[in-house]
Amino acid sequence: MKKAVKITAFLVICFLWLSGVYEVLRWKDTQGDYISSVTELKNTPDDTVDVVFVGSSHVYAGIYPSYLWSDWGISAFNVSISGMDRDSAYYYMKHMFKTQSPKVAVVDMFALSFDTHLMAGNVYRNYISLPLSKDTLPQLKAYAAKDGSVSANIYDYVARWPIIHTRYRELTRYDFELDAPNYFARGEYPNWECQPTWLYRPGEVSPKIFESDQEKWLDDLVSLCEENDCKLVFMSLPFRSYEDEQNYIDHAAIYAEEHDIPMFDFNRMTDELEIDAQTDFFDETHVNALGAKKLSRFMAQWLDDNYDMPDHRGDPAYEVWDKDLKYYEHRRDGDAMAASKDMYEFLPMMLRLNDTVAVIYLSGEYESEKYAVLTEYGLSEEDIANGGIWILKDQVIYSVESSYMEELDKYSTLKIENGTVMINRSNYAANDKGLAITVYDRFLNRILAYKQF
Amino acid sequence: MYFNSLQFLVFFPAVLLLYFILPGKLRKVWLLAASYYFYMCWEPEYVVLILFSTIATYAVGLLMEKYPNHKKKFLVSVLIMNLAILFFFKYFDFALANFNHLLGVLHIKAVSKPFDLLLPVGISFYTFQSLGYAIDVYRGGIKAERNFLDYALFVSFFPQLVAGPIERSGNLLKQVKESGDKRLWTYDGIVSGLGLMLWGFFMKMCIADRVSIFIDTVYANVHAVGTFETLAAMFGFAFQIYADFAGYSAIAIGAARMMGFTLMENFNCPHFAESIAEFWRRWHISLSGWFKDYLYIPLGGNRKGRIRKYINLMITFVVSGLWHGASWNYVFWGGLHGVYQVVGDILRPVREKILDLLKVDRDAFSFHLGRKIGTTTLVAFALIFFRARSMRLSFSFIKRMFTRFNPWVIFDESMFKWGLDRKEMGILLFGLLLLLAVSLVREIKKVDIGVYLLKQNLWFRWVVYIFLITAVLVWGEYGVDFDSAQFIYFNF
Repeated sequence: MKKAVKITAFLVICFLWLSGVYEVLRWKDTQGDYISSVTELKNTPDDTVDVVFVGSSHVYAGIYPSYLWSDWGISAFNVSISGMDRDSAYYYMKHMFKTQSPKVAVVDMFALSFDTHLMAGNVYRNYISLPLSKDTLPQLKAYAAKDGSVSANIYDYVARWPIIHTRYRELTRYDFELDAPNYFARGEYPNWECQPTWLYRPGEVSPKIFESDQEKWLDDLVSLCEENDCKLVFMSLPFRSYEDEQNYIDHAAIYAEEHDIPMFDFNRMTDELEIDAQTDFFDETHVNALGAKKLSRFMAQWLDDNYDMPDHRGDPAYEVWDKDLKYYEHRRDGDAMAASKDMYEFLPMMLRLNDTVAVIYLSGEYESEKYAVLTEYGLSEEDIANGGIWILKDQVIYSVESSYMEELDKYSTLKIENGTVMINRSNYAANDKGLAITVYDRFLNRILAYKQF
Repeated sequence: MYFNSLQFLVFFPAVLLLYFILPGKLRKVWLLAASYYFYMCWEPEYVVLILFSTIATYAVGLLMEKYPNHKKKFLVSVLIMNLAILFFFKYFDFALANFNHLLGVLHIKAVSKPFDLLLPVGISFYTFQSLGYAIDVYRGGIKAERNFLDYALFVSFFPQLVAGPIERSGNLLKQVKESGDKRLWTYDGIVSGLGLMLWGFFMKMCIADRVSIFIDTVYANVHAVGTFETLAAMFGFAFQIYADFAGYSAIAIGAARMMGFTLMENFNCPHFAESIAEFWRRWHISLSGWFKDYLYIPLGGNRKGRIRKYINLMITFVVSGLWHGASWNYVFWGGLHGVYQVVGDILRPVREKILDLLKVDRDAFSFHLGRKIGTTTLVAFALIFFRARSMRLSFSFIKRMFTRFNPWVIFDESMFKWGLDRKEMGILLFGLLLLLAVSLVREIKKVDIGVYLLKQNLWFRWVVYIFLITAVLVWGEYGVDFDSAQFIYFNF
């Protein structure tokens, strides 16, 4: 009996320990940023999602749930992962339906245009992000039948350790503690970069004949949504497509019409939505925040018009969407500050932001008049002439006389001493020519901007 | 089915569980079925060979006992039959290539192309084990086994089937017979066997397979290496093959121990040996013992004068080299070990005189350390021929070692460009230090790591077990993008 207890205790401890190790090692990245739809779905309260958008990176770059939340109060979630192929889209949806009961599922049709992945990494991520369940084997079998180029076999996918164990070489803090909230939030990828591109202008609708499994995928989606009492909508987000890809999407449109499924082919609606290839993309196949705003707002309005979407703003059960929005806003303002080169533009932005600590450092040789504007922020003319270090926090500015230390958050400590401004191990001291400002965001847990004017 | 495969991870617990549950007689049937399944996971058709070897030696054992006047004929016939199979599958292409080469020198057309046969896994091991049994019966050391099931299990017992230890009938067969009548396993055996297995997995997957990445890269680029890379690869391979083979043996012995079987020790800290002779008493003990008992001593051993002793030594080591592989490299490697011993014996008086002249304290730690380092260096040097796969590459390797002096590679980090970066080297170094610590435990306490851990407090044992499991799962070289190196000794 005593031995049985010992064996059981050992097995339990072993299991718990290895589960912890697995949690650290497991794949959790989207774009290498350690977070994914599955992780975020787990962090979303059950039965709170009203609409899901399903698809590859086109979806997480093109639809921001924060936009749907900010003006409509629609609780949207992107079931989205890079290179989401048809099988993983189906099984991710199936997984989502276990905890959520959305009214509407909007599925991107881009998956129709490819069968297999060029990168093994995508396959690993798409197939081992989902927790093990009775769906695992059929899911893997479906994909294995198509792709012989991946070196892992089905057993590796089931066991997972053979694929993920070498991640010990690349572990970071994010493997040990996932930030919540984070920018991926309910599945969005806020990006304000801009890369002018050009768009393929589809001509006449020219459907390409489906392979049997493409048609079956659409049939399966219809069945899955019917089983879960969820309205199905098709879409194809704008990207620089080629004729072949467009032809598949055209066929999906015909299928949608035949099955009475609403479909939005945004490649054919770029004029209507005023999608501008010069300003609304961050690369040739993904829209940026400007493009996402147009697409998200269009979808929000359409959903609200057609499905009577409830406004959940103010409901404590939907707090995560509020946090996501705050996160999005901090990111947006932070990016704007980082991009700003004009002191007169920068300073008001700095003052506007909550949850930040700014270190203002004046030193070296400079003309005081250049920084006269700082008097509007609480510095005297004498202060400006003599130089020094000030801290701006909660709209209040105060001088640092000698040394100063503050725990900014659980990750960073500010230490000012002997003319150095250290945040952790990096020095953000001024240059010799005047003003340097460092802004730390305690909500995002990172430095937003380090500027010299 | 390799020990370091997902299959084995399922196979072994399943075998173990049923073995514990089944009643006496069925236990043996179950183990025999499991052993044959294990073997057939490689090349199912080669099961015929092991079956033939089993039936032949079993029958000859009985015949020798029944017809004692003809036992020599029976023994010779079974030796010829088994060695002929071994020769055909392992040495035929090698012999043919050499014969063709000879014909070429004489400007005669080659007689045939090589057969390119796939070497049956473990054939050298089970052939020697069953022949050992036949010779023992011939000598009267043991009685012929009458129960075919017991004998078949003795030959095919899966933990040691494909890479040893090469068991003696006096040890394993006796236990096989007992296993039907009583439960051999104990709780302590299971616990210490598990510890030994975990350590074996660590040696194989975290040390041997990791260092092999460095070794393979260096040997694939001999044209670009200098003294320090070759030295690192030379010593590295000595540790690779040790961690690989001793790791396999530890898993085999541990697995058997969990089922209540005691297999013979196969390695006893060979890197602590202070002479080549001692090295062979510590390295692959089951094979060294086999050659000693069934070849060296029958040849006359050291009983027929110094010259005959040297000839016998050379024959034994050349044959041992050939046993390891059908290539002149292995023959040279074996021969070099023979030469080490012969020259060492001849020069012993001179060596003693020099030590006296220099007033070297033979009891000092430094003296023993020097001998250990010297022996390890000689062993590692000979292993160049073992690893290089061709004589030409071996000599190129040695030439680079002595002609491309490049000490800067130690300081400019170029050593991290041979397949193992700084992090991987760190893990390897940690593994080697652990190996040294475990070897010291074995050397001082005279017990293996499984038994040693069993005597420790529970918390310490559990911490070590969980550490080893985690290390193997995380640091082990397996899975995607890793072409898991075969256990080196499978090819022999």
